[in-house]
Amino acid sequence: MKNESDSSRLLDAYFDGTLDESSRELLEQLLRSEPSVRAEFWNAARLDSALADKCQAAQTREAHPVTHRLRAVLSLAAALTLGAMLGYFLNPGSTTPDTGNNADPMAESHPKTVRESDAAPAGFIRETFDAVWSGTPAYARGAPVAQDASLKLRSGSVSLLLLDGSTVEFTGPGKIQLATPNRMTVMEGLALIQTPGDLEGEFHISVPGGTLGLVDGAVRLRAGANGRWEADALDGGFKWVPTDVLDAASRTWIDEGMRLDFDGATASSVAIPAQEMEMAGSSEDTAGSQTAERLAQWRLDSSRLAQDDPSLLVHFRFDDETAAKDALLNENRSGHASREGVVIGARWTVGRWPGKKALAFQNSGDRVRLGVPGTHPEVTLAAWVALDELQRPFNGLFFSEWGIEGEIHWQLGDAADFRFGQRPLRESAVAGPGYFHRVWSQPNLESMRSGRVWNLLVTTIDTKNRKVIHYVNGKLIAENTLPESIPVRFGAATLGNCSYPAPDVWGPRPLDGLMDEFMLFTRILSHREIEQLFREGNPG
Amino acid sequence: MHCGDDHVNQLFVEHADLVRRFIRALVRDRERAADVFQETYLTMLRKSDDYKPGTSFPKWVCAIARFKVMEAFREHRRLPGSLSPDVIEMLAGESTAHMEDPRLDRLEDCLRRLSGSMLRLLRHRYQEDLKTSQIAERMNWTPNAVSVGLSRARAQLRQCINNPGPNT
Repeated sequence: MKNESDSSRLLDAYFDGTLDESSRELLEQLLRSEPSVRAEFWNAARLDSALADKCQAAQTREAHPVTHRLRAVLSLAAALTLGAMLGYFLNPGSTTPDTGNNADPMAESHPKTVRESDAAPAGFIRETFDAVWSGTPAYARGAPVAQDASLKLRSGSVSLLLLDGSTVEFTGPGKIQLATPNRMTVMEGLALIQTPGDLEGEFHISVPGGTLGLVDGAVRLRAGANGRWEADALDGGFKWVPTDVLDAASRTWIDEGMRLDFDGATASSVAIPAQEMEMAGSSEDTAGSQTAERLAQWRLDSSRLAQDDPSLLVHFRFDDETAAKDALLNENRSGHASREGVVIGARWTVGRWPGKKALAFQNSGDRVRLGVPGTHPEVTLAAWVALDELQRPFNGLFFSEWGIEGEIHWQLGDAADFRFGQRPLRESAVAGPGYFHRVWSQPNLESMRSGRVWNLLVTTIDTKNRKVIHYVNGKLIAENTLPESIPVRFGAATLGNCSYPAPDVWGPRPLDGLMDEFMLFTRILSHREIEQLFREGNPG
Repeated sequence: MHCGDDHVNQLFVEHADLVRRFIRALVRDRERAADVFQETYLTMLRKSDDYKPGTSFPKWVCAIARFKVMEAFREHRRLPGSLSPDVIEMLAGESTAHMEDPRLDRLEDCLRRLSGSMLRLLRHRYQEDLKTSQIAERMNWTPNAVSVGLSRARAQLRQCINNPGPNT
C-alpha cells in the first residue's frame, strides 16, 4: 500500500538528485505499481520545472536590467540551411522591465557583499548621530554588525543594539570591536554600555590591562589612545579582572557611583564626582542632548503639519499625554475622521526618542480602530515604524474595512517588501477566488531589518492615474500600476493589523513591531514633501 | 520547404518549455537532456507533415520526445540519476505527462508566503543549482535538514497552489 509521505519524500529526493540505490528501487516499485504515484511524479516535475524557470528568470533580470523577450524563433529555412542546432534553453527570459509591479520573490535584492554568510551578527546599528566613519566599513542605520567587526569613528556617535539585548552608545573619535553579542573591546573613544535586567551571564568589556564584567546596569567608559581609560559605574556595579590575575579573590567589584581609573599600568577606584553623576542622568546621556533637541524640533514641526495642511485627514502623533491609555488622538479635529483611534491590546512603549511614545503591535489582536469616511481618489499613507522579526507573510500597517468597495490593504511581507492590495470592483472580471489587485515591491531588507530601527514608510495612491508609489526613508522604492481605477474607501479602518473578521491563515496580521506616528493625507505628496517628512522625523 | 513547417515550428516554440520539462523530468543528466531536446526538435521538423492541425500538439511532440528519451537510454543503458528504462517508458506514456497545470500561475504568489529561510533554500537549489551537500555547507545545516527543508517548502507551495485562499 502506497504511503503518501513515502512517495513525496522519494520524489523530492529524485528531483534533488539525492536518491540512494535502495530508495531508487523503492520509488521504481511504487511507480510501476501505483498510477497515483505516476501522476504525482508529473505534478512534482511541473513544480520542479516551474521553480527552476522562476529562478532563472530572476537571475536573468538581475543580470540584465534592460530586458527584452529572449524567446528565439528559429526559422525552418535557417535550421535546414545552416543545420543550426537548437540550444537547450530557449530561455523564456523576462518580458517587461520589472518596476516592482510583480516583484519576484526569488530575486535577491540586498547586496551580496553586505554579509557573506548566514551567521548571526553581533548586533545592529540602531541610530547614527552625525557619524563620520574612519576607513571602512561605514555603517548605516539598520546595518548588521558582524561578530569580530571593528567600528572606527572619526566623529559623531552611533547607537548599537546587540543580540543579547544590551545597548552600546559609542562616540568618536575612537574604535571598538564587537566580538560576540556579549563581548566587546574598547580601544579608544567614549562608550556607554547598558545591559538588560534579564541578561544571562555577564557582558564582558575588554580594555587595556583586563576585563570589565557587567551583569545588570550601565557603565561609561572613556579610553584614550595611550592605553589609559576610566570606567564609571553609573547604574549597578561591575567586576574588574586584571589580565594577569588568575584567582577569583583578586577580582575587584566596583560599586555604583565609583570610577575605576587605569593609568596604563595599574587601576584604582575613586568616587565619581557628583557633578559628573548628575550629568550622566538617564542611560542615554551620551546622545541625550541631541535626542532631546530632535524631539523638541519634531514636536514643533509635526504640530504645524495638521494646522497647515487640511488634507492631513488623520494624524496620530502618539504624543498626547492627556489622551486616555486606550485612545490615540487625531490631530485633525475637524471631525471628518475619528477624533480618536481606539487602542485595542497594543502596548504603550518608547518611540523614536526618550519621552516619545509608541505602540507595540505584537499579539494577534493588537490594533487601533478608527473611522475614515468618504471616497478618496488620491491618498498618501505614512507611518514611522520599527520592525521586529517579520515572521508572518503579512504584517499589517493599515487596512480599510473588510469587504467594502475601494478597500485597500497596506502591509509588509516578511522580506520587508510592500504588499499593497485593493479589492477589485464587483463587476470586474475576477481571476479566480479571492483575487485582489496587487502592487508589491521588491524586498527592502537593507532598509528595514529587525532590531527596532525606525523607518518612515510612505505609499502614495493615485487612483485616477492608477499609480502606486512606495518610499522608505524618503527614497522611492517602487512605482507600480493598479489594474483598475477605483477610488479608495476606508470605512471602519484598522491600524497595525488587518480588518479581516475571523482568524485563519489570512489573518490576523499584527505589524510585529512598533509604530509612533501615522499620517493619512487625501492628496498625493510629492517626493520632496516626503523627503521633508523624513528629515523632520528622522531620529538619527 | 513544406508549407506547414512554419506553423509547426511556431507551435514548437510556444510549447518548448513543456517539452523541455518533459525531457528533464526523465533524463536527469543535463547534457544528455540537452541532446535529447535537440534531437526531438529536428525529428519534429522532419515529421512536421504528420502533425494534424487541430489535434493536441503537446501530445504529438511529447510522443516524439518519448521516443528520443528511450533511444538515449538504449544508447547509454543507465543515465546518471535516472530511473530504469521500463519505468521511464511507463512514465512517458502517462496521459498527464504532457499537460500544463494552470494552478502554477499562482506560484509567484505562493512563493511570497514562504519564510526567508525557505526562500534561501530554494534559491540555492534552483538559482545557484547547488547540490544538497553544498547548500548544507552554505547555510551551516546538515544535508538532511536541507532535504527536509526543501521538501517542506515544496509541500507548502503545493498546498498554497491548490488552496489559494480568500485574498492577498
